[in-house]
Amino acid sequence: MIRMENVVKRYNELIALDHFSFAAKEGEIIGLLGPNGCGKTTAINCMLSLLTFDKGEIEIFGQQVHPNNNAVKSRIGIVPQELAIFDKLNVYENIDFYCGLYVTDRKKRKALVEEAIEFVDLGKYRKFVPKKLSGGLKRRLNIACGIAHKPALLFMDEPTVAVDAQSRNFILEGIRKMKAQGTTIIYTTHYLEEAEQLCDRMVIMDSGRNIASGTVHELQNTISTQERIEVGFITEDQTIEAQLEELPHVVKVTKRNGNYLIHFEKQENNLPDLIKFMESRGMSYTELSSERSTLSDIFLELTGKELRD
Amino acid sequence: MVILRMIRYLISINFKDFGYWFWTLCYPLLMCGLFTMTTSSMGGTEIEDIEVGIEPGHPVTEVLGTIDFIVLTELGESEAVDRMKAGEMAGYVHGSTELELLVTETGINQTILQSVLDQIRNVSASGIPFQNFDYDQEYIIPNSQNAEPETVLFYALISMISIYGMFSAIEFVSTVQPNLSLMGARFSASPYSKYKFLFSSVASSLLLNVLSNTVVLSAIAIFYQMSLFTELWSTLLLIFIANMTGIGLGLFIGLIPGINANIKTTFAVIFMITLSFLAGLMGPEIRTIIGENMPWLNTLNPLARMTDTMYRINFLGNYSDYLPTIGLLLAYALLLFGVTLLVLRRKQYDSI
Repeated sequence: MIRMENVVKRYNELIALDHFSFAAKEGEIIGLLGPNGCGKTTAINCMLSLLTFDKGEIEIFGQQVHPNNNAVKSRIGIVPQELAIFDKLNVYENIDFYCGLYVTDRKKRKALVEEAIEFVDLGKYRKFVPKKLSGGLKRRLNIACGIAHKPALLFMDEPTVAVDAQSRNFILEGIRKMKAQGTTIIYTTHYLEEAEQLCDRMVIMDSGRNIASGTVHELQNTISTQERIEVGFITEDQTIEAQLEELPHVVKVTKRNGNYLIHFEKQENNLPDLIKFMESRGMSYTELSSERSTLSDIFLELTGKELRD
Repeated sequence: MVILRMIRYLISINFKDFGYWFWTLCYPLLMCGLFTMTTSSMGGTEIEDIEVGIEPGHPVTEVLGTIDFIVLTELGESEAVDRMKAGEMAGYVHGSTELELLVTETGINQTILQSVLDQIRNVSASGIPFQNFDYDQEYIIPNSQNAEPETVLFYALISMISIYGMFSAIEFVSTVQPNLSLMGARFSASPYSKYKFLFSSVASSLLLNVLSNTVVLSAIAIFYQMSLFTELWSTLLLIFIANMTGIGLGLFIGLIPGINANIKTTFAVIFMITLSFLAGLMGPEIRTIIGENMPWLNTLNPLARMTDTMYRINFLGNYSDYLPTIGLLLAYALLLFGVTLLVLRRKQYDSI
């Protein structure tokens, strides 16, 4: 569906995409993750053939991207991060306007617009102009404008930024429905839990490079910290931290909310080994919980930076 | 059908914009009211005296001497040229067999003078020699309208509103450029042709502005009881062409990269007000000053040309400047459309 190979994009001295490669298969949701300025939007704009690039190849639907390739363009939809809607047109008109850029047949367009309105649940607001809609409803309208023509490939650039929880869930549910209908979705986000829930695979970007890609499980396997176990002890002892560090496969021990957070390497029996260890040393604990490394951990380990959440 | 649908939407976007109607309808009508109030206190004025030089002993000296607003001075050609260059004299009449007018610049006074000489030529051509002129008879028939230099204010105002299409054109061209707006990114990522969009933008701007111009002109005629147009159709054609020029200007300003549509609109307002001011919107004196010091500015300023031409054709019945003005306005429009098409050909950008 999409193949991006060694794409280099420079803005004068700044390298926005540094031999960036990635691929997406039909029906997948691919998450493009990375901090601001890492090149996510640049990558999307190159795929949309809005931006020139210095080197590399991009193929969509098996064809080289080119601004005159209308056959490819007609199968693509975009939902930009900022609202790209007309203030003076109402909900129906906005969707019809954008749908009309792709679909010329009036009857077909009307049906598609109705379907899009239903999809984003804006039926009650069809005659409302955007300024009368809440932020979340405007986001839904922004999405409807990008999906009304039923694209086979959809680029969604942070569609849930500044959206209330209800609208966010609604949007995520809608994205799942689109995937179920066979749409391939390239999804950029800062919200890691969103990416974990939604995306089949993720591409982690930093400084224009693809520094890791795969499923959450595959990404978890790429980093040294695999599991973290949080333990709270009845009595505070100066030697506890040193004792815990003696455990095999421990990467480091940190403190969190008065408890100890033990970072383990990849190993299947970390929790039983820890319990045995504490019992053998007579260490009485009050709470114990285990957590797998998150995308945030993965990102931190791979880039040395926190991803804004 | 696709283009018609786009035109309908673009018209709808502007139609629902209060600001658009305020500036295209309310503002010019308020200005007209203001002009009517201020100029009514001036009363019916006559054409100011025009200083004219004439070759000593020229046969038309006596004829010209009977015209109230012409102040004749007999002098030689070189002295006349000096005085014309100093702005003290509008023209110099010479030529013993042919009646010739020598001028060093163009302007309303020169036009009036040329009209007077044309009429004398016409009378002469009818077989009445200069020497046999009956000075009690009005060979020079006054125009149906009184001489009212303050009407320049109204013509300047009409010239200004004729180029108002520039504002919608700025919005539209910003909308279609991905480096200028997110909507532009949506446009450019779609298979919709930019040229179709450009055509739709021009057509919708033109339709809306012509409509608002018509409303303003009708209101001037009905509510303010002003009869500014004795040459209606010629004036309407001029206004139509000026609309094209205004839209061309808007498209051109809209293409400026790196600044948003609001700043462009502010720039366009300043630019338009400057052109209108120089064309005489704040008083006809400015035109005289520019005519004396920077005549090229009046020649190049589309609004000054339009104001001048409307005044000449409607007030003086003089069409000598009509086609050159239409030609200039069309040339501007075509040049600006050409640049816009050239820039819009670009489909990929180095940065967005």
